[in-house]
Amino acid sequence: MTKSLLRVVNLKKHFPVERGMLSRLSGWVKAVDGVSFSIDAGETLGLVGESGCGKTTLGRTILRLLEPTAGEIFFEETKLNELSPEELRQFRARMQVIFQDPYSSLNPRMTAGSIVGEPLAVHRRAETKGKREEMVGELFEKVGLARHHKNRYPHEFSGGMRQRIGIARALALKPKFIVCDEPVSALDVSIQAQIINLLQELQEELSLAYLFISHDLRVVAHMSNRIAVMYLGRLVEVAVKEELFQNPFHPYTKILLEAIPEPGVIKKQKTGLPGEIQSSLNSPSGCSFHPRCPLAKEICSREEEPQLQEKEKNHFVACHLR
Amino acid sequence: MKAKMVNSPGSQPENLSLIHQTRGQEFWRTFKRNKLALTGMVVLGFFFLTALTGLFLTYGREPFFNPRTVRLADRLRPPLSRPHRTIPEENRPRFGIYILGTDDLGRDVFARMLQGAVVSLSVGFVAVGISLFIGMILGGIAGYFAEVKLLKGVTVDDVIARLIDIMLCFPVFFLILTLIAILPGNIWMIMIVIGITGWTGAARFVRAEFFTLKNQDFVIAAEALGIPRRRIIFKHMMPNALAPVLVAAIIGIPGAILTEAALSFLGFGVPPPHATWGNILAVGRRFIFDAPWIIFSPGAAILLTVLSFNLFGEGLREALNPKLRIR
Repeated sequence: MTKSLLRVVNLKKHFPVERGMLSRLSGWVKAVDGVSFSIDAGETLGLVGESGCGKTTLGRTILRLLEPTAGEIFFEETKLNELSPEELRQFRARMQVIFQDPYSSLNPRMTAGSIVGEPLAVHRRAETKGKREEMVGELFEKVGLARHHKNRYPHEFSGGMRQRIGIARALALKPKFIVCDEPVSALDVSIQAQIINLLQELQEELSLAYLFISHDLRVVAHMSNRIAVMYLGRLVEVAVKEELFQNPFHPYTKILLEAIPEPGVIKKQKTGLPGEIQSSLNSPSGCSFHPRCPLAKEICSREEEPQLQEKEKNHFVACHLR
Repeated sequence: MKAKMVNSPGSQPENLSLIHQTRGQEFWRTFKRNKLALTGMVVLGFFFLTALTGLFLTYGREPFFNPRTVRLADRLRPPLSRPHRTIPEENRPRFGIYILGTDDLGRDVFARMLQGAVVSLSVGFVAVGISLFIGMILGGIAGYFAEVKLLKGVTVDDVIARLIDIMLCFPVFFLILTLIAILPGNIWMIMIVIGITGWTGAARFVRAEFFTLKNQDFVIAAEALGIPRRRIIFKHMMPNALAPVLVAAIIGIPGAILTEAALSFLGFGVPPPHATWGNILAVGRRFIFDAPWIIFSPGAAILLTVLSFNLFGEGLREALNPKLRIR
């Protein structure tokens, strides 16, 4: 068996909800509730799910930007949970993040060059200042920016170019794994394509592994090797891309796939889910999807939460009915 | 006015990056459109120069303009009058004329005004400097370490926020009066007392800014890059929290100037014979009908400085706030 680059075991992140003047604990928001998966080197795992299902929280908890409530994260067999703050700070060079909003992800008071150069300076990746400038220049060219852009401030760039600066910053420390947190959702469609192509080229060139978070199934389908579907803090289905699209098991995945709009096709029957996503504050008994599931049977509300099980080879589903 | 909002992502044209303009230039372009603020800045510049000349010309053992010379033959002379012939040569005013008249002891009001300008402006700046220093440290700690629990679920933010609330409950002026009555009265003590009673504004601004900044993507990105915490706070967060604090400070300076003037007026300020605008006013109050020029000069000076600071601060706020910025 090949060792995976990143392995997450039963990861949980619960946020306390406090009420009233004395901050009494009134409950927990289970943003991530028992998620397990792994990513191989050079692979892209797409993560889809509707807004508020915990995608971003999962991404940030893996990087230990949020402290996990429970569960284990292994990166190249290093257990991230056990690293001391200083060890973690050093370790961060190996895994990076690209953000959704290119407007708030760059410090408005630093030039593009110093934004990209700062991690190099902090982690002492260049012996001299001149060498660091050279490295920054190379990174700029690698992401499709000109070297003379170094002295400009973020507000002088367009959204797409800002996103390129964010990518250059993430690449500066030569990471092996990058969490792409909806990196194209805030961009125009034409620019989306450019950034997606850039990410794919970089992946090939640097053999990067991505956790590609998005709510746009088409983008995820284009980028990913495997896709994980998330609902209310849990993974409900994980499969290889082609398998997931041709043979979805979980009713939620089916509805998601049916909802992808196609140009020129007018769907006779409106698909979609009844109701809103449940509040993760008081998740329903049994399967958390059963109040909205078109196939729900008695077993779904009575039994325990279904666990992710391998129904076919490399095709995992969490559903009582399958 | 044609205002174009350019804040929504994606609405910026791609060629915007061709316009190379530093923040400074952009700031100045917005600022100079506000004529009132510009006037305020010019008036402030004038008062700074006055204070600077005051520092050189009225201090020392034998100053060019002597604010301490008492001339009993020339009491309460109106502006632009000439000295009495009995006044000895060395006590005559410069240029042989009392530019702003004399007070009840025959002291030159112009010389005293010059000396007072130094006191007023330095009290304003030093006191606000002290309160900024305290406010930024406490506000920064409250904002950045907000969720850190101390004991029994009481957070760092709870402690500092309550401290601010307690400070706000005091009628500050009476607190200052009490402190001044206990402590030795000199100009430094007054600056310090005004400073340590006025930090709540800055603290609240920095705290609020840090709350928002802490969850901004670029701060999270810095953390993800393994940048040390100290550097995140001082390089990434502080500079972005500074603009509203700077505006609050500029608008806080006239407050400190007024407080000093009020203290001096009540006789608790800088001890005589040192002149301040406040104690010139206090002297003039007794001769308001016989010699109205004595209260006119410090009154007008205080009014103009405070007004200009407020106008200037307002202009700064407008130019620094990206929401109001017009391209």
